[in-house]
Amino acid sequence: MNFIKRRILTSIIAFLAVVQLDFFIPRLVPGTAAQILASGATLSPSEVIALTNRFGLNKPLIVQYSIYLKDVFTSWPPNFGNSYQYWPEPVTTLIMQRLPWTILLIVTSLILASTISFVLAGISAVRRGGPIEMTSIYSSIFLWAIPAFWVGMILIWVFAVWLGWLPVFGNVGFNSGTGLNYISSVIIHAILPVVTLTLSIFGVNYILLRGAAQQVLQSDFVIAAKVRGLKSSVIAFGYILRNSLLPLVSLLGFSLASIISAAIPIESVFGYSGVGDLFLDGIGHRDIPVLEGCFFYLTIVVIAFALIGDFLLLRLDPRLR
Amino acid sequence: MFRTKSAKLGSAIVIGFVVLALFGPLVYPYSPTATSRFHNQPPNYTHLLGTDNLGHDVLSQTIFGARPSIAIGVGAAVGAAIIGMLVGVFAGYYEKLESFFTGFADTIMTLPALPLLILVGTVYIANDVLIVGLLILVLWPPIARASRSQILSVKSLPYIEAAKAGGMKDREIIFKILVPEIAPIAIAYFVLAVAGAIVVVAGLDFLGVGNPNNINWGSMLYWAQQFAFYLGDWWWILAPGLAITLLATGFALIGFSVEEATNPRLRM
Amino acid sequence: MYTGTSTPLLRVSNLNVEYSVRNHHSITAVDNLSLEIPSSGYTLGLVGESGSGKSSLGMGIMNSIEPPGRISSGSVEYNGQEILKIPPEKLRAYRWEEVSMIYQSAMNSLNPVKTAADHIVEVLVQHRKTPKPEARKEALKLLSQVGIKPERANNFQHQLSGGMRQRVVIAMALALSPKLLIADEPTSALDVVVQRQILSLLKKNVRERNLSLLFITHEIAILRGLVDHIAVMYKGAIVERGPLQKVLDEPLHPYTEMLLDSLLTIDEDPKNNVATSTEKSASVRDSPRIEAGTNYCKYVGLCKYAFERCKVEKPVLQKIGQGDRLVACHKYA
Repeated sequence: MNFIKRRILTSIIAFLAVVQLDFFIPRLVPGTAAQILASGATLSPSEVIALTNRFGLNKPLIVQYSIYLKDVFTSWPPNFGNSYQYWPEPVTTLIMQRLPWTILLIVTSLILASTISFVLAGISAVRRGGPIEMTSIYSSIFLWAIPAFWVGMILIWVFAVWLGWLPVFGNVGFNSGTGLNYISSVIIHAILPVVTLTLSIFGVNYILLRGAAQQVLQSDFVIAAKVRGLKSSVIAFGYILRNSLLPLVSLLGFSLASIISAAIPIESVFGYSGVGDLFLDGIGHRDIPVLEGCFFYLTIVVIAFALIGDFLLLRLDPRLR
Repeated sequence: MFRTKSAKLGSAIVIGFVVLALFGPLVYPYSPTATSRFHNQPPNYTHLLGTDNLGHDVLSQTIFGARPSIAIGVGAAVGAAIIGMLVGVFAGYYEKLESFFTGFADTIMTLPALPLLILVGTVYIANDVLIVGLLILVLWPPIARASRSQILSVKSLPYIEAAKAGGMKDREIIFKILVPEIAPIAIAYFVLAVAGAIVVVAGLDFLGVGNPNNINWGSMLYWAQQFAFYLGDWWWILAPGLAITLLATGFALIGFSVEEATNPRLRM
Repeated sequence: MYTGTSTPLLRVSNLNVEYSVRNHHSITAVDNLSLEIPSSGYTLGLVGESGSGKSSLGMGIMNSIEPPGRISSGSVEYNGQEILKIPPEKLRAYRWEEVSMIYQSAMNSLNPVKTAADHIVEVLVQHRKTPKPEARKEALKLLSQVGIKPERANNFQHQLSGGMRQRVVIAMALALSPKLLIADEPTSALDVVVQRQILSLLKKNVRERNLSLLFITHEIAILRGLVDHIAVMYKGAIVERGPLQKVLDEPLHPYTEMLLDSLLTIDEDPKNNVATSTEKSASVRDSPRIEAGTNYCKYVGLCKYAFERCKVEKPVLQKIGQGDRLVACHKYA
């Protein structure tokens, strides 16, 4: 099947899978009103009844399912109900407030990590076995293995607690106002989380890129390029890396899932108010609507970015057209 | 050069932890659950890695934590490897099944693992078995993919054709020839899966999924995150995290070396 | 050797190329080989089986031996200049501007993400610093000279047939008007019909541009009409050399004899030849290791004329009589 069609199909299937999982996983635990109260929410009895009726919590599963599907697919943005914890805030509203922050964190880290690994891989390809390649490969294995949230904790300790240079929590200061002040506050608060996530992504990226580059390096057309008397830099970037990008971009689509997975604990550690943080909050309070909504949106982000990656791949690789 | 050095280093680390896990009770100075009045002590002679806010000896807890980490990590990875290899081999060999399995594997890989695990873990009050099961679910696709692509490249070799012509049954071909052929790359991915599982489980424990009162590296960090910063107990943060990192790095080194070794085009 | 008063175009002297394998062993691919190409327009066919070292020789002339191979000793002189020890910029200028190469598998020479025209443009821009628009015009011109219409100039490698790819490779090789073209089995991967087209294309360009040609192959049959001289290579060394027709009519070295004997007929009809020409042309797939520096004739195991001296002394490539024939065999020494 045509490449892009297949990718879109997979994305749709994944999306549908998420929708199903999102419904069934929480519901399969027995108890309805009990569920709500267990979340420690402070709702008056009439609110509990209203909630039960709205979502059919005391009705058969099939009824709940149809209500759920209707909410998700007919309203825009998809309706996940109201948070138990932050009652009566709709889940979607809560998420939308935080989604930009999460995306900011992920995109910034992704760009930084990809650029650095690309450059280092380029240098390593030209000077094989040199000090740059050696340090890069060992550090990237290390960074791949290290738990991202722990890195965050260490960084907090060093930079916030011990040295006191950077703030500990939050994505923005309390009274930072608007304009430039606001922006600089955002940046300062974002530095540590971004650095943490970047390090984590770099670990994965560099290894993949290097693996791809090594395969390409041994290719005959690279040797043929050398025989043609082309400059090393031209060969490194136009031949080696350019062809290594192809498997890299396609693998990036999959690594996005792990990037999001890493971003969640990072948000928690830094108290960064993104969707991940909200998600974790929901855990502590057993706030099922929030959990569902966050899971849904996080996965949508992954699928969307993966598709973007695929379109990028389409542009890069003439063989797919 | 790189691969032998790093493989040796990785193996040394892993063996070290395995030993600790097995002989832990003989080694750790205090019971991991024992509290004492010497709380929040920095590393000193009586408590080599210090104590936490309830007086637990950090060193003992760290040693104890090796067991669940290794057990779950290896257990999940073994399950994932078995499923992954079987799926990958059959998908690679029988082309009709191929698109279905690849699509299935790809779809699973698109789902973010941690949120899924968190969701399930919270709703169902996670126990170890559930976690392992979920990990297997999440970890098998990469192994399947690697197995499948290896099968594809080996499938068309002349001696396979010869075996078929000689009357070997498909089943025999698969299990006697193909599986050993792809075993190296599967082992590489298996080892990497162990590393991944260890880190993910630690993450789950850190987030409070699963019982935080269990003693493992992740839950140590769970408590540390709440108290250590304010109390200044840096050792409490350092020890468990370092343990996770070292063990995962050990497996990672082995896994990447094997991967490099089995791929003849990769060379340092 | 060929005594000429002027410096030869290419002179290879005592070249040794080795490949290291595991456990610190090495295989000698090119064994103390000396070869000359005296002038422009001199066409030489190099015949040998797989493993005889002929490809290594080609790459050695370009100073492009990649690890695990290396040039362990010897020299390659182009117009009197030693190629094996020059600074990188000069080496880059030598490569492609003076000597260029085409390979067996064009697919492996072309970058999958670049178009046919891109490759030629790149070479022109990198070596001659030609501005891009001119380079593109030049590229299109070259491509049409090898029979590729402008509409296909922007195709990628996977969109072109094997024959077309090889034409692109030839165009690339000729782009900078080199003096020497090394062709390493350029037609082995093509079917017979396309083979003929490519060979005649080569012939035409070599004649028109007065190029020197070093045509490496394992099929003697295709050298007819293509080159004037022939050298036979066995296990890393040249065992016979001379004008093509004379060597074919009257082979001197026992190995050459064997090669020609196994060629039952040189059948011009392509229909009959598809499967058999490869059998008929002497190509033995497996070749055992070559031990360097050993003091006996390497052909002694298979030679029907072998006598005592052959087992203890290595024959040297020498002139026979007063003509232009050279042989390395004790029969004539």
